[in-house]
Amino acid sequence: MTHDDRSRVEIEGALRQLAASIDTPPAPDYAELVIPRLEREATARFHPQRFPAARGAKRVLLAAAIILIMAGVLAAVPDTRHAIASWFSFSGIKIHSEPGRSSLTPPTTPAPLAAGRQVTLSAAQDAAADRIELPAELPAPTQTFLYRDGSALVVTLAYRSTPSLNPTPETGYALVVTEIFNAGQPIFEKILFTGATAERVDIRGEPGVFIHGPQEILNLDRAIHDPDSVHEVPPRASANTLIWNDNTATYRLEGAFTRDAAVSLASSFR
Amino acid sequence: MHLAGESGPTAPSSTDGALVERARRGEHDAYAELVRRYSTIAHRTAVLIAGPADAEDAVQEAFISAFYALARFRQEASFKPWLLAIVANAARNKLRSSGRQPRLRDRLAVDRAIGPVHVAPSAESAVVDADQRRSLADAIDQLPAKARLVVTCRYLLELSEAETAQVLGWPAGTVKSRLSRALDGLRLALSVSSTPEVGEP
Repeated sequence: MTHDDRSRVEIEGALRQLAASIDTPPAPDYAELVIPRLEREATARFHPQRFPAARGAKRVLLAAAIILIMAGVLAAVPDTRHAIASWFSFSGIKIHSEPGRSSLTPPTTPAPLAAGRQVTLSAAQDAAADRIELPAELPAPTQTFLYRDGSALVVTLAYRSTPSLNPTPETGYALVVTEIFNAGQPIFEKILFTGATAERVDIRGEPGVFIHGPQEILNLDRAIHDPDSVHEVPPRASANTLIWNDNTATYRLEGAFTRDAAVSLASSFR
Repeated sequence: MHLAGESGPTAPSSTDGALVERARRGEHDAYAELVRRYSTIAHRTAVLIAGPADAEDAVQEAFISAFYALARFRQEASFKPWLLAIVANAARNKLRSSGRQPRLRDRLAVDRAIGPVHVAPSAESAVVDADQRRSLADAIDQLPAKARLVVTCRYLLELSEAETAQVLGWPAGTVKSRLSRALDGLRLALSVSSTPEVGEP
């Protein structure tokens, strides 16, 4: 054993002994603290009287009802249960359909992204513990935004232009990338209107969905956890969208791209 | 020290995977069992990263977040590092928002006269006395944030390198290199190699 090896063994041994002498206060009964909260949140989602009559809140209830009905119907077939979970449960983003047209007028000026405070890409990487992935084919994003929702971290990368994409009327950006870390509760809701299509895709082996056609995106952050609150961010029209997740994050790309172009872009994330 | 498993002497009646599957279907009692099973290690993780004042909030938020993220959990994976990754993130968020940096030294039991720690005879069986433990805790407190995190996960939470990588969301090679640099830093701070004291078996 070399001198350096011996030193490493000694310091590792000392660390293990140190671990044994660290005094941690006893843990409270977390089950008693957590489960009632989950039950309250589940109740809040399915009892309309607990929500104010805000347009966004009604949509939450409608989304929950649709998902519940679909789950009830499809769960009767065991083989489809996993498909339901993987299809609708991108962590942090709920997806559902509404018959008819969006009530929003077609955008004449881009809607604000409402993506939190603008930061440098470096600061966002620090906040995300270096987990932000970027499309390898593109230069750095024009703007980077960041906000937190509970323990979740939402990072948005906005590209004013790219070699192959033009700015969309919905956002004014050629590409908007949203990365959600540690997403537990839903943070966004995607609403698909008549004429929209959702197609399952694979991104480097991970399940994803490409949504084409009339659609909106709604920020759910406060409505779920505080039934007395209303949405601060109204829904906005959204361009075509690709959503997928992996062990690190949930990703959302928005732009005027085709399915194949979106999948190619997503597959280049590093 | 017993941290993994967390279920005590009685064998768990259900595997983590089975409980996750039931919790995904909305069975709160199944999730309550998972919460109980991992409360101790989750709490210790949060205390060591964020300090005792913010640990409880961080762990509660993490268990709530984890419940909603169960659809993302892969059945073939290990539940513990998956959960601890969420706990560690919640604790790091608390740490950032509080601006408080907890001191590991404050968590040492050495001042309660437990005496030196003896371990089985081996090359690493040096008896680390109270003063050395204080010095080592101080040295860890002085490490850069990422180095402190990797040392905390690997040695103070007794996770494997693979689990540490999963908890911190870093590639395995990054864990290895940051761990190596952290140990170099601690060795330098303590000059351990020049003052080893080998204790009695």
